[in-house]
Amino acid sequence: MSDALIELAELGFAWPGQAMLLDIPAFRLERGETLFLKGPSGSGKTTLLGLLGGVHTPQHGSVHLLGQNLSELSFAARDRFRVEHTGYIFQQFNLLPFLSVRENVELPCRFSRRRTARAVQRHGSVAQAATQLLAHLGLTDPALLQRRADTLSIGQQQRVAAARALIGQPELVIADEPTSALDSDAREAFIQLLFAECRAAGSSLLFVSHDQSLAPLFDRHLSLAELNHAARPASPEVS
Amino acid sequence: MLRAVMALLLLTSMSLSAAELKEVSWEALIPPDAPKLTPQMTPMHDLADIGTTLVEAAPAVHQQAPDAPVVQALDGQQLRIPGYIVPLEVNEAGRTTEFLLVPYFGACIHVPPPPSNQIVHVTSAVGVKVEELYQPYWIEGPMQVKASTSDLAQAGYQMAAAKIYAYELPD
Amino acid sequence: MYLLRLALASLANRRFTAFLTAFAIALSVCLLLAVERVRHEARASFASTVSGTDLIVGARSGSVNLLLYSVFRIGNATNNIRWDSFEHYANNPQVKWAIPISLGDSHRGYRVMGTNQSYFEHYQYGRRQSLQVVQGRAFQTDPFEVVLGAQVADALHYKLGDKLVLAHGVAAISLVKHDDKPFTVVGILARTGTPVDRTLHISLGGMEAIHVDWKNGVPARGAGRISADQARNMDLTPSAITAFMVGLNSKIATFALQRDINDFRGEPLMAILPGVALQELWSLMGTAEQALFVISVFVVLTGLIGMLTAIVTSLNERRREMAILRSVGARPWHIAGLLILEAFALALVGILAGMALLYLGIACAQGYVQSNYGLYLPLSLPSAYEWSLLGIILAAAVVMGAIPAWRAYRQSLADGLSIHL
Repeated sequence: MSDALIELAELGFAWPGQAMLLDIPAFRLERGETLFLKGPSGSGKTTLLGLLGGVHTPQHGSVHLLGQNLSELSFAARDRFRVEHTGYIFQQFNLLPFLSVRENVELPCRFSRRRTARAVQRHGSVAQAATQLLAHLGLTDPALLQRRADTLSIGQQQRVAAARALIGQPELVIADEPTSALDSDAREAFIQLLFAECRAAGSSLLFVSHDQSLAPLFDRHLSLAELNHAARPASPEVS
Repeated sequence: MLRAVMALLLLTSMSLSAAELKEVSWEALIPPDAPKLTPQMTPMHDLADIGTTLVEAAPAVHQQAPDAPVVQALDGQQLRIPGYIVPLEVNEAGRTTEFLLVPYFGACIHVPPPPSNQIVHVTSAVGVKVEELYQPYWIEGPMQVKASTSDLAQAGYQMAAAKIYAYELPD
Repeated sequence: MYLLRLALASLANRRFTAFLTAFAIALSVCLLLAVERVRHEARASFASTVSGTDLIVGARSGSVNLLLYSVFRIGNATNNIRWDSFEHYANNPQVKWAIPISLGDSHRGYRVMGTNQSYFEHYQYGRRQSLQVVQGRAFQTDPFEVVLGAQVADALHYKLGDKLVLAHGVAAISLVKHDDKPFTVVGILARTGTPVDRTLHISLGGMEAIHVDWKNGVPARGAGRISADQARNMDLTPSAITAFMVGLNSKIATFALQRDINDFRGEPLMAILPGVALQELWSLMGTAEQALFVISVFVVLTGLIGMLTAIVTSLNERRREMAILRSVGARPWHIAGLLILEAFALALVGILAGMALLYLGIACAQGYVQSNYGLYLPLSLPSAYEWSLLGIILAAAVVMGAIPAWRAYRQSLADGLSIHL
């Protein structure tokens, strides 16, 4: 039980004054596992990611991250816990445009001592961690690292976002439609790079997307519609 | 620092005990046996009297009590007296460092001036910032009394003020 | 403080707006400081102009008016007073010294004052400082000698021995000059920082001499003209002067003598205590000063509200920025702190720029203000009072920054991790 990275049990969540949005009896994500979660927008995907990050608390049930029940933590502690153990990649506009590429990658270390320590332990310094991660993701030119983040192409920006999510080896990487803005040839290449880095860091990858064609690349694939009982159309009870 | 504080405490206690500060009224500055002077009450803007003042034969408006008698006993005493400030010297910081203290406000143009034993010539190194001429002040310090000696030296009261502070009505 | 680096980088990204905001604050701060400085210097310079004079006597007008024209050379007398009235009081046993003065002429905009030797002996300014003749000497028997105030000599580049012509009236451009009777510069006074510097001093005899052939307010022509040499040989005792200053043997006699002068039956005279008249002048100015100060404060407030508006407006376009920061681990109070730091940085830059503008302004205008208004604006460091004003402005800016900070705090809580477009 405590081995799992994420464990949801009897999770129920509804926005105030609305019908039950999420009703998930059980869900597990193992350490080092890559999971493809199919969930179109509006299906409660964003809310689920928020619950996993400790941004919201469920009405009933529990969310365990690394064995820690998130509901037991205070708001500030949950914030801290999230950044120490989770890295995020969004669909687009991941980066602060007025900072350099390097500074963007180093951001999580500014707010988390644990990730700084782990980055230093693995790469020697935060700066070197950033350089090496970017190199692994195909961005080797040192001049590029000094440029403003908004001068890069979309594909390059997504890779920078990936490096940022991975710096300091968080145990969990959540990627929310990271390839939707890329063209199809670039998608698979990006995912392979992501897999390689996650494996090297020992991080789990939770990849949410509507593009079913990518599913076979992952260890496991699920659909939020199956997972979420509240999304099922009303039908006679199935035991 | 501590030594300075101790010295300050010692000084203030000494000055408080050594010289008992006596509060006086303006009446006390007039010797009890002085002849009673009827003050000339003709204000300058009383047009009805212009006739008398312009006529050559009319008696000249005399100087008010040029050598009014002083109370010699007050010389050297630590006194506290309230009055209005008529500035004589003002320094660059806007503080009045030399002034005449008078018993009533308006002792300038319209009203007969007070006699010389109802005026104190005060000097102060620190000075006081006089915002309004109609604000009365308490003056504390050693009174010096100069009796009339010659035609040139005027008899009167002088003081080098130790403390000057505003006079507030008790609530 | 990485938060500061983020705040500055974010501001630099919006540098045009940030520049305008800081500039608005700079202008308003400069205005406030300038108003306060001018006010302070004006007061100090007025206070230090006359010292040791017990009474000033002139024709009956208003006390502030008499003070202004006799001491500050501002405005004009309504009437002259007779020479024998002056002599009557100069001989009064209570009076230690009396200085007669006569006004009404000028030289290229600077006032000419007729007086006698007792002016150089007894006139004092500041803290009982006497006048010093730094070059040459005071005027003596020849009526056509002039002693210049320091500023007149500097501005018009006069030196000892130069000849100059006085004009009638006090305008800067004179149409009627006494050019048949030029004056020679025999002395230059040390700088006093008072209107004495802007005055040309001639003897009363000289004043009489240049008007001796003026009948009915116009210079005589032809046979009526009297040359300079002819004038020298005439009796040049004045018949009238503008005012006189009095020093007494005992200050306690002040009121009595003032009353005596006010009641003088020879002609309508008025005696004022310079200290009291100055106080009256200040209470007149006081209301205007306070009004100016209040207006300046409101201008600063307007500048700060401009800053507040700029930051609040930017919040919407920066929601993504905030969400990204949240996603990499910034807590909500980090976000709030970011905005307060922005307000602080903008206000600080504005204040420093305002001070720079002030010093630049003073450096440029110093000479002009001194020669036209006799006011010396020093390029000194800010006083304790000015520092406290600036401190209050900075604190106000930080407090104002709390408003968008609070909004951003709430927004970032509500947004969670979703990045709205």
